Order: sequence, then structure tokens, then C-alpha cells
Amino acid sequence: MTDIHEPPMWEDPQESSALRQLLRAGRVENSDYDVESGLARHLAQLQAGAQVPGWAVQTTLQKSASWSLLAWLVPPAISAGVVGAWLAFQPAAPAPASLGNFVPAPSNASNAPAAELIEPARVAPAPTRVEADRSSETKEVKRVLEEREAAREQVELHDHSNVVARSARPATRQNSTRRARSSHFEDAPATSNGYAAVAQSRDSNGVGAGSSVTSVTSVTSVTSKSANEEALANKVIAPVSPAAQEPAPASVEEAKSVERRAKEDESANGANAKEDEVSGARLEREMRMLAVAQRVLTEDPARSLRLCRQGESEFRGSMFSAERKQVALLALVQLGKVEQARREGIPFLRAYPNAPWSARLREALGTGKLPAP
Amino acid sequence: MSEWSHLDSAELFRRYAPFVANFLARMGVARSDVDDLVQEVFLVAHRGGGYAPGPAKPTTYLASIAFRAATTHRRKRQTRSFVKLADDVVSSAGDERNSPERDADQRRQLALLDRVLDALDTDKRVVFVMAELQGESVVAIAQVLGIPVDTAYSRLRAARKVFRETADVLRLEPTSALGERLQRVGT
Repeated sequence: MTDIHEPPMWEDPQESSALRQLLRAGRVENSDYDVESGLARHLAQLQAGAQVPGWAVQTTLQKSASWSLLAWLVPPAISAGVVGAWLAFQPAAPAPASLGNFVPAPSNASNAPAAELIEPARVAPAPTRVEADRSSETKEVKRVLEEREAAREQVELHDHSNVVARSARPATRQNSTRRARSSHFEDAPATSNGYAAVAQSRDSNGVGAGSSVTSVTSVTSVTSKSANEEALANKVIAPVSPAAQEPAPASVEEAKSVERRAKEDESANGANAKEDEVSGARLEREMRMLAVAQRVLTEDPARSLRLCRQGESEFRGSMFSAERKQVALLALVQLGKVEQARREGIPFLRAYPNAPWSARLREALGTGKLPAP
Repeated sequence: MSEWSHLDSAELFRRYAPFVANFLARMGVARSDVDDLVQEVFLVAHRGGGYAPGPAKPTTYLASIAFRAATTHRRKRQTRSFVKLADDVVSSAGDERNSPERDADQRRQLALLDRVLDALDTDKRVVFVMAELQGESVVAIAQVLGIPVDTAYSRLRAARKVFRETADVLRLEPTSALGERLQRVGT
């Protein structure tokens, strides 16, 4: 066991007399608390049956073993109950594998298997929590799909002008895109890596019209450029006809699917990369300013102070704000403005008593000289 | 001694209410709130079956309850306002037996002490107050706080270091008359 072989501070001769005096003042029991009136109030509370304050109740409950046991047992039991209730309301017919867990509302009552999943007779009158979650998830998926759709359109407009014949593009772009989505949905593999496909409606003749079918698939592979170009050319130049809307050979469809995945990935990664680039550049600039301010602290404190103030105006409230402030305070000390540094530094040190630079700043404020780093 | 009569409760209150009030003040509780928290501490002690004689002294036992009360109070107060009233800065110290001059000096010292203690976070502060100001052993402090003894020692060491440094800085603050006097004493 660790032991401190030191006397209390207030009687330690190595401590300064001022410090010991301060501690002795705290050791004297000199409260002006009115015991008699406090006691009268206390007894009155007991007679009135006053309840224990909330913080004491919580602490007692948290410390009791039975409560801990309940905390471990109750959530799994509730989860099991919810899952059981959810399973009880499941339809007898299995859902198509490609639909996953998401079951959107049908726009056509005569629709095929997807619509049967939410047939009114099989749904509980009041929506359960699981259903509410599924509904919110469906909305979220729709929102993501719309965003990705917009990004995909942008990529198509800008990136593939050298692949598709310019004259054919304006007339056929929309149709080909729709057709590609339609055929992808029809041929989507049952295991789509955890992503869900959302089907909104289908034509009554069983052929995908393509206008209301959307899908999201995971993007896990990158294909060659020639395959992408071939797939896109096939998609755009092919005439729009019922025959063309028939499922294409597996290799072409697969190429289309892969090409679309690559586009989605590019658009998503492109947006993120731009944001990262901007924030990374800002961070780098801020760090450089701070590093220069620290480097010139001794030789040119005025410049150091100027850099700190500029940094604070540019990156107010950033993660280096406190670090910058302490450099500015050290610069003030170095400039001989010790009183100003103390005025600003003492509350600052109160807020950051244990930072890595606190000891150095304390010494600087106390001695009025810049200590060695 | 699982059940307390009102008399026992009253006796405990008479003996230790000043101690609890002092402890709460050193933990940063505002003067206007000390009485309410003293009531809460003794109410919790009473409802919890009271103090059972054992290794912990009654002061240690009451301090452990008061610490929880002060922590909760501090959290609530921080959510209400970050501004501390000027009245709260001055401690509730004052002894009728002292002369006015000595009383004022004592108040100033306690105000400075509270400002230095404000530099400590709650975990270190409670260990420091109990060890250095209340004279509790570190082992007893560890027991009532439910922390390992080594942790209590390391917190005490860290708290002493911060206390020493903060006191040095505050001594140099020109706005404090006591700081000037302490500076003269120190040099």
C-alpha cells in the first residue's frame, strides 16, 4: 500500500508560512451557523415526515445489489418481449429476400408480393415501437436515396461526356437511367450486403416500368474503365422500347450495376473529400500559426502575440484556443505587461488548473519572467 | 444503533451541524444554500438509520453524505448560472468571541482559501478538504468515498500540488489586500 510520509501541509515546516496560515484558517471551526434554529427546523422536518432528497434516493438505489441485478435483467426481457410481439404479427408468407426489412406503402393495390407484407388485416391496429422504428428507417432510406440520386445525376452530367455520343445523350439520358434502375432492381441479388431495396410500385403487366423503382446497394468493388464505358454506352444508345426493357444478359446488367455503384461511391467520397480537404487546410493553418507563435515567443513576443490574436479571430473556439491563449499570456509577460497578463491569466488558470502548460504559465505569472520551456 | 430517537438525532445535530456547515462551505456551497444542505444531510443521515459506530468517525460519515449533497448542488447550480454572487464569495466565517478586526481578517483568509480551493476539481477537493482541513486519515477517506486507498493518496498529492501553485499565484494578485499581506509575510 502506498503511504505518504509527509506531515499535513499546515504543520509542514517546508511549506511557506503564508500557506500554513491559510490552511490553519480553514481548520478552525468558525462557522456562524445557527445551530438552534437549524435544529428546530430539522426536528420539524422529521415530525412532518419529510422525504429524503432525490440525490440520496438515486444513490441508494444505484448502490443496492437488487437494483443492479434488475438493471441487467430487465432490458433483455423487454427486448425479448418486443421481438416476440413483432414475430407474432409477421405474415405467414415469406417476404422477398431483396426487400430486406423495409416495407414501404404500396401505390397500387394489385401489386405483387411486396404489398402483401403490409396488408391491413395482418397489421396490428396500433403501431408498435418496432413498426415505428421501421417506418422511420424507411423514411431515412428514402431520404438517402434521394440524396444519392441527385449526386448521381450530377456525376452523369459531368463525367461521361467522352463516352456517350453527344447527340444521343439529351434524348435518352433519362430513359436509360430509369431503365437501368429498373433492370437492376429486377436482377438485384438476394444478398445485397445488408443494404435494402425499396420497391414502390410495378406495372400490372409484370414488366418493370422503371419510373418508380429505386435501389441502393453496397459499393465494394472497382471495375475497369472499359467495362464502365461499354455498359454506359449500351445503356444510352439502346432504343427505348418494351423489348429493351426486358432483362439484359447477366454480364451487361452486372456491368451496369457495378458502374452505377462506382458512380455513387465517387460522388459520396468526392463530397466528403472536399469537406475533409477544407477542414484539414484550416487545421493545418491554425497549427502553423500556433507553432510560429510559440517559436518566436522569446525573440519576438510582439509578433507572437499578434499571431495569437489573429488566430483567435480566425479560429475562435477551436480545439487549440486554450493553447493559443496561454502563448498570448506568455507573450504579454515577455513584453513586460505582467499586470495585464496576471489579470487575464489568473481566471484562465482557474479554468485550466491542470493543463500541461499550466505550471509554466503559473511560474511566468508569478515571477514575471518567461521560464524555459 | 439502527434507530435514532429524536433526542439522538438532536444530539448529533447539535454536535456536528457546525462541522457539516463548514465542510459544505469549503466544498464551494454558497452561503445562502448552506442551511438547506445541512438539513438535507441530517435528514439523509436520519432516514438511513444514522451513524453506526465503526472505523469511520461521525464526521467522516457525515462528510461523505455532505459530499454527495455538495456535488449534486454544484451540478444544479452550474446549470442555473455560472455567475457567483459576491455574497457567496465571502465565507460564512465569523466568531462572536473574536474582535472585529480579527474577524475581518479571518473572513478574508477564508475567502482566499475558498478561491484557492476552487482551483481543485471536485474529486481532489473533497480529499484535500477532508485530509488537510478536517484531519481525516486517507484510509478513512477512501472508505467513505468508495475509492481505492492508492487513488485517494494520488488525489491528495495532486491536490496539494495544485493548491500550492494556485495559492502562489493568488498571493500575487494585486486586488487582494490579504494577498499583499501574505506576500509580505512570504518574503
